[in-house]
Amino acid sequence: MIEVIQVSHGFEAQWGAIPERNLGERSGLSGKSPKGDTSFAQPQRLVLRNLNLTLTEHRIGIIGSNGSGKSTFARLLNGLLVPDRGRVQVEGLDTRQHAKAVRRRVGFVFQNPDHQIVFPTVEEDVAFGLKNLKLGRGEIQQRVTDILNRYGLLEHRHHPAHLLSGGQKQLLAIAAVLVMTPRMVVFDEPTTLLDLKNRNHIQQVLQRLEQPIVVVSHDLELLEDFDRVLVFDDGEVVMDAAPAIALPDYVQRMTVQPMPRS
Amino acid sequence: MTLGLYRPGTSFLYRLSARTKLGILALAGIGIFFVHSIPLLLSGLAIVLSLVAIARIPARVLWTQVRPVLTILLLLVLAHSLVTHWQTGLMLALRFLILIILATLMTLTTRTLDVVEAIAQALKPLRRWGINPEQISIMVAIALRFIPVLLEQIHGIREAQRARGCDRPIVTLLVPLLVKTLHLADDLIDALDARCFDPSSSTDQPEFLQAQHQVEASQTRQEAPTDRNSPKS
Repeated sequence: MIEVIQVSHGFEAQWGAIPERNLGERSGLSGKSPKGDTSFAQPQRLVLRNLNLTLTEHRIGIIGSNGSGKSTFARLLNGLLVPDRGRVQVEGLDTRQHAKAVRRRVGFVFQNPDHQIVFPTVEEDVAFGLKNLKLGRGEIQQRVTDILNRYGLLEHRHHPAHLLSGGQKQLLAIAAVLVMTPRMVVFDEPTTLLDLKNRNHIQQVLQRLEQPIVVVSHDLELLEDFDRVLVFDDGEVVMDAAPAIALPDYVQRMTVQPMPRS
Repeated sequence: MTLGLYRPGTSFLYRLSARTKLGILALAGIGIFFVHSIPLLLSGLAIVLSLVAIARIPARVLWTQVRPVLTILLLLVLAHSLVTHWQTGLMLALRFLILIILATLMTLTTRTLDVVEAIAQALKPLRRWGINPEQISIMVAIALRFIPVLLEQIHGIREAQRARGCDRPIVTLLVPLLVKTLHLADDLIDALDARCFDPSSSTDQPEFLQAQHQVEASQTRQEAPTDRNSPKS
């Protein structure tokens, strides 16, 4: 279970504005603004504003337009980011004080596998996380073999990661996180860079995971059989419902006005 | 490209520890510049080539690694024969050739992680001066991993610039490449964090995959033909 309590976070960097990092000290967030509220004058703006959520469902989807704050939100869930105001608790552990413990519990798969595969070969990359968990040799080799076998990468174990196909890279990135047996996994746009076949493969992988997952995606079909969908808009959750309700609502919000003919 | 081009195998070059191989390579690299006789260098080349044969590296694999350098070496000989003497050029070229083949042998028979661990081991004495060998070895691994990624980015930027009519994009390449690389570094930090990497801690289990390596060595004897396939895309 993840609880998000009264969370506001960050300024988005914009041209002409210097993004402030220490909001607590320097900005209205500490209560120094004249009205004591949490809104800010442009061109600075909050990426997330006053979120209160309890995430208990098995599979939760997050959608929203670019810059709506959904990636930032995802990064709050495993302590990669700490909220400037409010707190996030994973199984009762505050991400601010227990960052390490939280990261052990919540795995994170990023959008671009090329940016998260750290070691040159497949096997070494999977072993990296386990080494960080300080496991013994025997267990590391056992787990690496098991997970590579499960995701069909065993024959590539010695291959350089950069020679894998896009789909295989994403599988490797997922395997490298799952091998650490997190209790929950957050995925940030896991299918965005994939072709249809690989996307379907990843969907299957997601469907079969035992752990609860939170998936940020623009791929609405991927979220159709999820338990809950959050729609983000300008740092706020504007819809929080089952996918049957949330997805059509989102599609309607995103309807584009026809371009004027030039 | 040689990067991470480890080929599973069983010959004695594989069984040598990465540290030994790294040491031999370093000694050879220094020592060879004290050899000033072409016959000696030629016999050195013969020894190195027989090592290639012992390691059962197919000639084709070696050729793809060495071929790009041959032109440069030929030019080197040519330049020396015009300026100084062709024998000086030949000597230099032979030295380089021997070292390149040795280094290639090392990369082909040693897994990156083992090299990285060997470097960490070798740097251990530096801990006294507050240098963390773990951090350095991770840096080396990341550098090796991201060379192909950066090359891909360069390719992408050049294509984008050519598509817009920029024909000599050498200078204009730098700024977008720098920006992209910084973004990449940001992502990488997140990825390291997310996988519980703690640079301040150090494990004293340098060869934690060693046992597995031996198990595999016995397996690869049967599987060798399938292992040679490169990953399909």
